[in-house]
Amino acid sequence: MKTHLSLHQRIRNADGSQQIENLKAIHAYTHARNWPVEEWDNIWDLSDDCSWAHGFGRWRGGYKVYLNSVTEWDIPTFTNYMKVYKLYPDVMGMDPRPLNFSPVHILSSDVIEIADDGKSGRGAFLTPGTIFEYLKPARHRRAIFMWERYGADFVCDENGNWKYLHEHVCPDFQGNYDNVNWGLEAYQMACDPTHRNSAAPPPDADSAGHPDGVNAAPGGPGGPGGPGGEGPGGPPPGGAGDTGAAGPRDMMLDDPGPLHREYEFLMPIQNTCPWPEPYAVMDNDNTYTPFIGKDRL
Amino acid sequence: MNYYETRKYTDEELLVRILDKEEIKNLMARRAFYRANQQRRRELDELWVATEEYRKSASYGRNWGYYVGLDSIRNYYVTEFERKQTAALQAIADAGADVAVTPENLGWGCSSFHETTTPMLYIAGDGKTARGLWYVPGQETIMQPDGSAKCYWTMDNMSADFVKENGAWKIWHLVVCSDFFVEAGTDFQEGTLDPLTGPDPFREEFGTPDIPMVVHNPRYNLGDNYPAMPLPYETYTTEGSLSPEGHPRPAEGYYKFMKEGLKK
Repeated sequence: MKTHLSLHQRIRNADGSQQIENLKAIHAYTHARNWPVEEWDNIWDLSDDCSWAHGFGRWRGGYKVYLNSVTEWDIPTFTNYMKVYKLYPDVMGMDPRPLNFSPVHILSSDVIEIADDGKSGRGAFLTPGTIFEYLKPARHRRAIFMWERYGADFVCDENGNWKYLHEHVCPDFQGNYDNVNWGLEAYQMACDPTHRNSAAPPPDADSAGHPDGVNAAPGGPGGPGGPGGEGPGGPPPGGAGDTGAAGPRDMMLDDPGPLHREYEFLMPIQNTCPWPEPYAVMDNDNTYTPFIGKDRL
Repeated sequence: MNYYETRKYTDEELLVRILDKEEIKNLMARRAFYRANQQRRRELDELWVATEEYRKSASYGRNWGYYVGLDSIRNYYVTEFERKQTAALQAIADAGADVAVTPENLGWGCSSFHETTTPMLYIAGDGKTARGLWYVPGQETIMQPDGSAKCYWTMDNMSADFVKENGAWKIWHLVVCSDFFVEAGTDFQEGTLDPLTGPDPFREEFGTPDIPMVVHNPRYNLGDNYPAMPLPYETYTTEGSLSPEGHPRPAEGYYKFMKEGLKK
């Protein structure tokens, strides 16, 4: 209980905590619709201190975060649409983006702290999420479960609006609904490097190679053979969907991974994004992305 | 797209709004517990609007349409459901199970969980109404007369308009839209690409709505953005609400070509 703060400060911080809960939900619902512009243009602080991280590594600075989270995310949603509308013409006139797939990273078990100075906030969440899709070139629907943990830092702007500053996504395990024993899958993958996780999209899927844990295709970020799976020194980033004439794209990572590993058959428990403790100001002891060249925000 | 409120509040106003949000989150969590206990009658009596003004316009939307007015909602959500529960219990008893067909045994062998997660919630600027969106993972276990059970994972969007009635927040318009369900132990990939017309035990349970219409068609994933992500608002209007009148029907051109063009 922060009894050293005034009643005014405590009311404002309680409001900040609720705004962060909303902000995190806005991310969940815009991401579920594949609406990156609607998310990153509105609820992110895209300054040089901004960062977005996954098991495979971290981008720093608003430009790289935006490019990889918006532009690179949009590309496969449109290429998917160009295939799907020929098979299912009833999609005509629709926003192509949500038709690719729906990554629904629901939020639970949140721990949120607001700094004593009221200028920043921190939150940790568990997400027992789901990804589903109906109309695909493969002509069958698909749904997987994907459980992750999040650590996120937020800042309050001059208008009193809270914005994302740092996000760290840590995928833990995934598999097909509802015919998968994920422990057995981890064993199979440990014994046979060519074994594919059931959650991996088809090799020609337009979601493959994207910076999301769904892309557990060999060679894809977060998947076996990818930077999230084997770490530095592994094959170059980019999944099967990226292997066009230009080859795998440059992921432009500032902090290459692995920053977190998906569940493997033999591994210790990871506490990659520990819940935030009460704190005074955002500094290198209280952040999910350590600052470079300075010790506090 | 502006997700931020523009109006500024005093500490006193803000404190009321903070407590309002917590009360609404508790309200929907209580509904989840009532739903798990199949206390549907109690849910309508305690958690939904009670004054005549709002009872008439209360609504409950599902993928296939809207039920309008609290009497209609009660008819299908409580009365018809209990009738089906009684028939199911009778079938179980007739098959030889040692169970009496009594009201307290309704739902024998069944289980239902629909958790509230991912709350996105706004109190209107005038403080009289509120609008929220949740994602609801769940499960339904339905006892069969032969002693087996049909078990399903369920994934729903749930959104609602709330109104402060005599100082307490109540559910006014509720929309629960299914994205998918899958029978436990079966491969989701094998199912239909037309979830609105394919087999659906939950649609069968609900019966014919007062306003049959496509409320949400997950064939297009979340492409219809319905129920929509709520945005800050000053005062309640039908547009953007979770009432049937607030539903953003697809553009006419789409239906014209769907009906005429594609069949040529």
